[in-house]
Amino acid sequence: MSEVSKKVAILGQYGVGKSSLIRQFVYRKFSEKYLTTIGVHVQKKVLDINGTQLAMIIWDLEGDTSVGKVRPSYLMGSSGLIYVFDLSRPHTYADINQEIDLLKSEFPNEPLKIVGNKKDLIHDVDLDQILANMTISCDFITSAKTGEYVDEMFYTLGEDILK
Amino acid sequence: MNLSETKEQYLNTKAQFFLTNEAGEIQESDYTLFAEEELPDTNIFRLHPFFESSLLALSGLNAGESFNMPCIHLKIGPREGIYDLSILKLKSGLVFTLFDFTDHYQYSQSLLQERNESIIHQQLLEAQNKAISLEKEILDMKNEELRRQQGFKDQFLANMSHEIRTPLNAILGFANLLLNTKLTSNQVQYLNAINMSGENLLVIINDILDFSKVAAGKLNINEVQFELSKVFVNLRNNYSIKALQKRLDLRFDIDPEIPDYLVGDPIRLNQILTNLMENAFKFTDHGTIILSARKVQQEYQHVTLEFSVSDTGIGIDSSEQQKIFDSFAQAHDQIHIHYGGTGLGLAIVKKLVGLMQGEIQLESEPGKGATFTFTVVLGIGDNFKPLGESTDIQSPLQKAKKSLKVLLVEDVPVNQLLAEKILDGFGFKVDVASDGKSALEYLQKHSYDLILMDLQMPEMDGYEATKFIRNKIEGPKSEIPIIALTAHAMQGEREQCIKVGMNDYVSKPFDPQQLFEKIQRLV
Repeated sequence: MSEVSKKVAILGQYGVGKSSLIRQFVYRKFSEKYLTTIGVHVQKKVLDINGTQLAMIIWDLEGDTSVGKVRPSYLMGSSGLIYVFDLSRPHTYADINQEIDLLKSEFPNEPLKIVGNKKDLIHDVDLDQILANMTISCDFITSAKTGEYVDEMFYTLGEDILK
Repeated sequence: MNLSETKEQYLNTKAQFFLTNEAGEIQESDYTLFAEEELPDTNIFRLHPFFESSLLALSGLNAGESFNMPCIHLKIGPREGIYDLSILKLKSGLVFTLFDFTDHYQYSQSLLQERNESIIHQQLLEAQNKAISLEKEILDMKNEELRRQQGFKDQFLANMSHEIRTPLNAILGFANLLLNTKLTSNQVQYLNAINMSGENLLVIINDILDFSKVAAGKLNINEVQFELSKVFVNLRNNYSIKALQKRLDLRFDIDPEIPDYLVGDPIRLNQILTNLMENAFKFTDHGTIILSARKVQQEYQHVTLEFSVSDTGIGIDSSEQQKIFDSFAQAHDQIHIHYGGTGLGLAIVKKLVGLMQGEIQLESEPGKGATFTFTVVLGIGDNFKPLGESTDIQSPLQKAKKSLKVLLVEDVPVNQLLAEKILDGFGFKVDVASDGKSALEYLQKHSYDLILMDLQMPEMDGYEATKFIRNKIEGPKSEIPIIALTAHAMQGEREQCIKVGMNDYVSKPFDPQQLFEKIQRLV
């Protein structure tokens, strides 16, 4: 069976749970302890997408306040992007429109998933309020802690990459 | 060792070169960082997913071009570290250069961790504060809405009370006037029925007003010096005839240990006792009603008194006993059918007792009567007569020796007629003005000993007229005694009248004797 390798970069501000989402997806583990990522960690998981073996190589990038500050070489050769924000910290999605516009202009042909993480910290009523106040539509609301919608998010991105 | 050798030795231990063919097969390496035997594969693209994904980026490079990747975490074989990488594309192969900066990056990581944790903490704190202030805003809005609703309710009750009291004043007033004329025994009986029904209606209105004050937390307990014996004398006067009519044995029992002078709210205490006495009379057809008071405890300047009203009436089943203190509740539906009432009396009594720091209890058995017992905490007064209290035992009506000239300001014709007749009965001369404006005209042209002032009137209301008299008129006329005579009976109304300069306040329907006493006191 043929295997296809594709690079996916995961971006967003520090502390939004990028590394935790990958850890949950690849190793089915979660830790409450926050460990800042410096530089790049690269993980790989092979997904079966409609019979195609997709080797998803996930680049976990150091969080920064803006997508514009990410080293361009880190994004070279990527096939898909994930932008993560923290639902419990409004600072992490205050400028989300500009961030997404920038990504879309730099990588117009790459599938992009916008992900609100840490759903486990938010009441349903507050969640509705947060989403209602956002002018951008969020693709997935996830919890790296419980695993809610984590697999769905990565698999959907994989499907989009293979399209 | 010279400087060049030292430098070479230092750099050699921190860097490694891999020379591969285009497919990534390792052709040559110095194996400084990763030993050859520790490498899991001979193809560099299979050593780590990082290299595998680099292959995708390499397709865009021409021979002689390179790209750099700083700070990459790699674990290959047993060795793990943080490296900077440079990949150079040759005509027939690739050169990978790895620099080990693990120590440097680990140090940077700890600084970054500290900075990020501090910022995240700050951001969470800000988010929490924002949420708290938002919750406070919502709470303020809800409170404002509640206040607005309470305002509507208060206004509705004030209007309702006023609208019912105005005709009731005429009904009760004229019934009383008629009773003083020559009548047949049947006519007296009918008039008494009208009087009693009117009085009952008044009790219901007062109960509803009191209950709304209790519900809004606006019912206050006054602190004035009074004699308990006088409260009992009044009750005896009020209920002796009733007891005689129902052929009941009415007894009063007051503990001699109770101090003569107490400090508290005699009006509210009287209201509690009257309510319990009314109940006792309502539900008792044979036997005895006893009202007693005894001292339970005395500490410093306070005394705890226990009052009880017991009867030999129909009694209440134990299952119904707690329920009767609830608002709008009566022991059972048949009680309402047979005896009437709103079911608010005991709920108000319970609240009033609570406001006087006491408790109320009921002991009863069906068919054997009921005993309501309650305690209140009162202050102990000074052993002298309260200020302003008359020591004259003559009836005030007997003291009317002087014919006063009174200006009655009232807009409702039937109430004009009633007040005129009553004042006429006192021997007073009366002029009638139908609103505040016309009252001022009368006052300019004539001299009066007193003004009886309605509040709600067209053109100019009683408040405005009083303010004008007190502030705009010069000379002795500006000091003329003014008594408010009004169907406005809500809490705070009296204070409002005093505030604008009136001397006293009488609510409609009024007791002629009470009005006379107030006039006597002022003039």
